[in-house]
Amino acid sequence: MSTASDSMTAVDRATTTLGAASIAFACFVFAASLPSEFEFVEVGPVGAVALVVCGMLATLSGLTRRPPLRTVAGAVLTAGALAQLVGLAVSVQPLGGDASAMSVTGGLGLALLTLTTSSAASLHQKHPMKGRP
Amino acid sequence: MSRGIEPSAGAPAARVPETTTTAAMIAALRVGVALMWIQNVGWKVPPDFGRADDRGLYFWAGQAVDYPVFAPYSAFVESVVLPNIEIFGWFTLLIEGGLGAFLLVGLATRFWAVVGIGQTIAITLSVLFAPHEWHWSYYLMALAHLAIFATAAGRSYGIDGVLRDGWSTSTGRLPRLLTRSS
Repeated sequence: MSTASDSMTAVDRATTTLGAASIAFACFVFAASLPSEFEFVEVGPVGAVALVVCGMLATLSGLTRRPPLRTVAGAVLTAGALAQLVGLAVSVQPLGGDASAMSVTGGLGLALLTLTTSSAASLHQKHPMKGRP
Repeated sequence: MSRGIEPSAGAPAARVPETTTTAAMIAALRVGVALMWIQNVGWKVPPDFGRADDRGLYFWAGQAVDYPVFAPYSAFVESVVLPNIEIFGWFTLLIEGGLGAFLLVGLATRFWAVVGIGQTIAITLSVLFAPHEWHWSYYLMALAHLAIFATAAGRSYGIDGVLRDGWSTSTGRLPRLLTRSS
């Protein structure tokens, strides 16, 4: 019991951290004025809004222990990364910026989705009789 | 029976204990290397990856031919990579984008550390002898990935650290794969 509870806490903490990181990465929308040495990510206004909104959803998910919010945030970020990847082929970047925006949103999105799927599978594994008569 | 080397009087401890500070330093290494890949995937621009203007990835891949480091690799680049830069460019973009994404969050970190070493070797063989390049940049890149692999850096403030226990007790194929790659 305590193990499952600890595990959930770690997942919630990770979700909150990923949400905060997502919001932090959105700040790179202002990075064009920085020297190129510090412009680690090039993201446009649409990408920044997506990162902030999904970051807030993930943070809220971690703080209030609502996994569906994490799933939504992860799915939106992953879809954004895929759209950016497809868009690069036709020189249209839905998130603005370049492939670095794809890498960041993809990483954060996949991490959130992995937390959802793995924690659900882990809980199921730890309670194989749960729900059975 | 002791389970390890006991420090004796005057002898240094066998291992540095894993503390919050050392874990944070390992995570900083991982995230820093991820940011390097993230920043540098940005200038891999499809569809021609710089072929039209002899710039970008096409130019830098061509350095392997102009300033050969390893003759067979140079021949491969000249006869296979450059004529098909539109294909190899996408490989490069996906590999470096994946390196940035997965190392950033610490997911399947040891697998991606190996990928990073491979990509570093490819870059090194392309540009090591190019003018104005600092050879230690590439040695340090390889060593940084080696450190990420050796420390299993995803277990320090990464997704691997959060989920690995669950993966290791699961019977599924993907969790087992993730256990091995973390």
